[in-house]
Amino acid sequence: MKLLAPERRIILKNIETPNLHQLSVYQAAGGYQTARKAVAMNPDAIIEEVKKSGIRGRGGAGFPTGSKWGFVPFKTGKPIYLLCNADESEPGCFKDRLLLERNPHQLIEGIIIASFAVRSLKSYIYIRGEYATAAKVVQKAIDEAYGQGFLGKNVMGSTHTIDVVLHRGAGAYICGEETGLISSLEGKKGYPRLKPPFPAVSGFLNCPTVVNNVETLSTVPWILANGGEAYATYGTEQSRGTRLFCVSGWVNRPGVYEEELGCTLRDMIDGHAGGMKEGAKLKAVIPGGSSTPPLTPEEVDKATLDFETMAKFGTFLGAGGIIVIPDHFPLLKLLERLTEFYWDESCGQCTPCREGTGWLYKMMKAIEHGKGTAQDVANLQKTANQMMGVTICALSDAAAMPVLGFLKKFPNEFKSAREHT
Amino acid sequence: MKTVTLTINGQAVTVNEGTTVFQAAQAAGVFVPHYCYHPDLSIAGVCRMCMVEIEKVPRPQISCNTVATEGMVVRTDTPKIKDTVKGVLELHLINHPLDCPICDKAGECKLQDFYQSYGLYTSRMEHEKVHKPKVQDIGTIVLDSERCILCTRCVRFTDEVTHSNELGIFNRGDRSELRTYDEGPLKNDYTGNLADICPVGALTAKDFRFQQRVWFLDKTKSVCTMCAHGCNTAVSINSSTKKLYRVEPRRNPEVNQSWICDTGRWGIHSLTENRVATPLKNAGGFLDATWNQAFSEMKRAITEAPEKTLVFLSTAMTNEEVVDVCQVMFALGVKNFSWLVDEAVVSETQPFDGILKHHDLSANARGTAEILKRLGLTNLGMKAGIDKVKTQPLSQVVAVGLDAAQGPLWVEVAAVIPTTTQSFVHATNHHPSFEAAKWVLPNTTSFEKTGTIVSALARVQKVNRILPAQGLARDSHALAWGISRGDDRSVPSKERAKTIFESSIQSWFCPGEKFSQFNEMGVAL
Amino acid sequence: MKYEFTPERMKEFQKVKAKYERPRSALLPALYLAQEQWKFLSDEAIQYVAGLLEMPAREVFEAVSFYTMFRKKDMGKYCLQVCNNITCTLMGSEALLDLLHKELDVGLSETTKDGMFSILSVQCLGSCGTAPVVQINENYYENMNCDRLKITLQQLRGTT
Repeated sequence: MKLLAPERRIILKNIETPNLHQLSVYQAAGGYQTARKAVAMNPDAIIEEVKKSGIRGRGGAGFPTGSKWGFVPFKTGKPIYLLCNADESEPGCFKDRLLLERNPHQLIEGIIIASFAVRSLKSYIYIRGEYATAAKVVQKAIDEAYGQGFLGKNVMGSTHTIDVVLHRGAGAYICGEETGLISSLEGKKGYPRLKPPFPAVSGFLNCPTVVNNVETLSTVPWILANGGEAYATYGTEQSRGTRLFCVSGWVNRPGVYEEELGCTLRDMIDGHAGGMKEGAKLKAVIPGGSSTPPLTPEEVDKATLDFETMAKFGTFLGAGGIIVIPDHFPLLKLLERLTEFYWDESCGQCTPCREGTGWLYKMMKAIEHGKGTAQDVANLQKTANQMMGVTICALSDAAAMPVLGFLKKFPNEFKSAREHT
Repeated sequence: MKTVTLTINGQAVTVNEGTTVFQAAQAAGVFVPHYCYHPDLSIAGVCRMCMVEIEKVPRPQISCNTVATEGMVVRTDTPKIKDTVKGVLELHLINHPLDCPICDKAGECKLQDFYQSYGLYTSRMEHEKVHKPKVQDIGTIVLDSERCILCTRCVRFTDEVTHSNELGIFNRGDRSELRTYDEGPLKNDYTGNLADICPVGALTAKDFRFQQRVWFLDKTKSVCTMCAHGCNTAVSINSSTKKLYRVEPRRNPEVNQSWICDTGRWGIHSLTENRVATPLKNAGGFLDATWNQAFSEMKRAITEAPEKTLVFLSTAMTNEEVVDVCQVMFALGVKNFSWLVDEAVVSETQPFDGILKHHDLSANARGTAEILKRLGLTNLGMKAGIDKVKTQPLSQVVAVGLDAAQGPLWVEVAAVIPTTTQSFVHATNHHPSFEAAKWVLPNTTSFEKTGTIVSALARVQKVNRILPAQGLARDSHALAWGISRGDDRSVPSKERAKTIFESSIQSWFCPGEKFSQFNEMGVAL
Repeated sequence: MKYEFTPERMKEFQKVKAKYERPRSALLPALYLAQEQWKFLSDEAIQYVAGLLEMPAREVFEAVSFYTMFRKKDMGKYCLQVCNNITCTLMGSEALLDLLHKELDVGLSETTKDGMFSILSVQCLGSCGTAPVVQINENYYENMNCDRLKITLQQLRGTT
């Protein structure tokens, strides 16, 4: 087993401090000082600092956060909303849950700073319905923050108002898509919306809206406290800073690890996660959550965890869900599970996704049960391609990409189906 | 308004700023396949069929939600777009039942049409299809969820047009199912439009279902006369039997968008059933008579006592008919004219349901009133006319051009008939209230005549003859001229209508319009 | 039965509603309250919520059918929700599901005759690091295995 190097902890710095979810404990560790500093700053300077940090959204799409904030039209006369996306539902990802349950004040502090930067007076934390425990913890933290005058009118003695409302989802993966989230928050089915208009211009209640992931907002206090440049010294050219990686599957120490972007995947699996369980042989790794195409063992050996390298291997960092698959497990069973997931979660709005996810699932079910045919394998490929880039949101692509990835990288797995006419 | 110029398939087209690429393509005459787009509903962007390639944009875009910009280079005819559209179409079809032979939409189904133009592949779907409820009775419409492609046109219609909100899409993914939320019947007065806008066979109108294959039908443009709104219509008859099968809305953004109400659509039955077939003379019971007898008696009666005669002018007559009737009667010495209209309703400030349906059931009240003024005749008004008959200064009544759409008004007129010395009723349909009339004469319906009317929106529009006159029915041109001559030498009504249009109506109401090629959209008064 | 929130729930509903710009944003919280009161969302309960939020009943019916956490029928006292997604499958959740079917003698989305348990197969619960996971009502039972699941069932049975 490889020697365990320490993680590069920024957001998780105090995560092991007992009772960190309590305001007093968070404050004792220096919490809320950055927010206090922020509300006395020029909001544009905060945006500038975040731009300098180079941080890209941690929800999966990886859009530069500073730019996103910079797009908001401040002078339309309409209220501006900041929505925190805590609808973490991508299979393989469980980092936001950790931040919500263990360090909610760090998130609230990030929300205060971000709200102030984008001139938002009201934010919502949209938390997935299943995270009942996290919801209780976060609500308590919000109440505590109000109690201390950190939220509400005259935030921290300033003239600013920042209200934060916790909103529970009710079981729908698609609400993690930012416009699906907005629809849901408006009391509708979580149907994603056509873009344009983009949320920055017309989002929640047709007002300018910024949607940021829990991890992104939780990083903001550190960036502002230490400076964007300090953050940018971590990571690689295109992938600045650190991020949380969720390692799950056949490893000795599954869990959430914070590491600099650009670290090697091997270090993550063999170092932090303690290597393969029971000395099993590696079959494949899904690097960024269920919708990201898998890596072969040879690729795993070469891969570093950053946006650019992942792109080179035809996959993505996604939301940091690293799923480690051992040699002894039938790979196609997992792909069948994935196709079932997207079939189950497709909102049904756009035809290619609604019909395509069902078809992919049916074909994978047949193949997995040994009833698949060469025609099914050919159809999987063709159908998945037909689903790419033709829908309102990315769920269709997310369903198609792993199918195409498995076909491309693990063609032998489909051998028996291929030989069956 | 500012304009932008873009090219579509190499052809330059200039459109107003804010126009979508889809609309620009339409303007350029380039057809873009689509299911969910509808010009009178919000943009849903869910069928994903209207994909186009735009220079400098990496992926195909849906044209219905893309605004045209200056210099944009759009193509709909590249192999990539054809392939994309074919792929999307295939996904529309994988779970669609193969029941075209028993589907009433066949022949006007967009799945069939686009499969012909963009599909033509062998089915790859070898797995069990998704099944959903079929043949569900939702009032006037039959819903087949399995055929539904979830384009949401109908849902948007009930949300945005009727605001009745009864249709929805339930569940998610490929379990998504269109139905009424309470599984009960539709609750609005515009349900027939749902069958029109459904691009597939999911929503079919009970009234039309299985009555006729659409390829046997001929469509003629006309205008609805069931109320004062003047919705533009297209009327379908069987090309060989000439039987009337269907009335559909004809799009006119100034009048009715793409809609008509159910009364206008299915009221055709009340217009065609229980028709007066021949002139009937009352001799203690109605007996069949000839027009010759009728005309000679009418001419004699009117000529003998023109000052005692009141002519009730149905406001279902065309402008040309009104002119003809008034001029003939005036020439015979008649000076008392009353329009037939619900006067209380005409004076309402909000005389309709906020969508299309007018409380005023007179298709041409506005034209009638205007013509009387132009001819220098006094309109006594309906109530006052009735009072004059009741109190006896007038003892002879001729009610001209009655049409079943105005049925409720007939009763009021008929109520005074017993107090008259003799009365002549010219009506499309039988009505018990006519039993005291001396003569009941068969009138043509609005489907059997040609002429112009003026709607409550002050729009001059043209009604077109779709069917030959039923039985011995005569329109009011023929009636007027028969009375004038006192015998049954027929006048070619269409010629009369054209002559009157050109001699008066045209210059009064719509200068520059030609009778034979009247503006299909009508013109503002 | 008259469909109306208890006074306490009504107070709670008013408090929640006041947090939003528009009443209908409180749709999910209102449905949670209704489900808490009536165990599941009957047509009448849905109509009641639509009335409270002044929104078309149809949209509430749609939402109830869209979100998986709302129930249209009564469920067992304990909803045993086994994650069927990728990491949990890899870590043995199928065996847990098999065990439940065998122990309780009911299929998926079914409820035991005594009304104690319903078995549900659910999507990723964000507990992949502690897979496999079974969510029982609102609580996560992580790093689950067959032996622990048997014991858990016994414990739950004992609490009646």
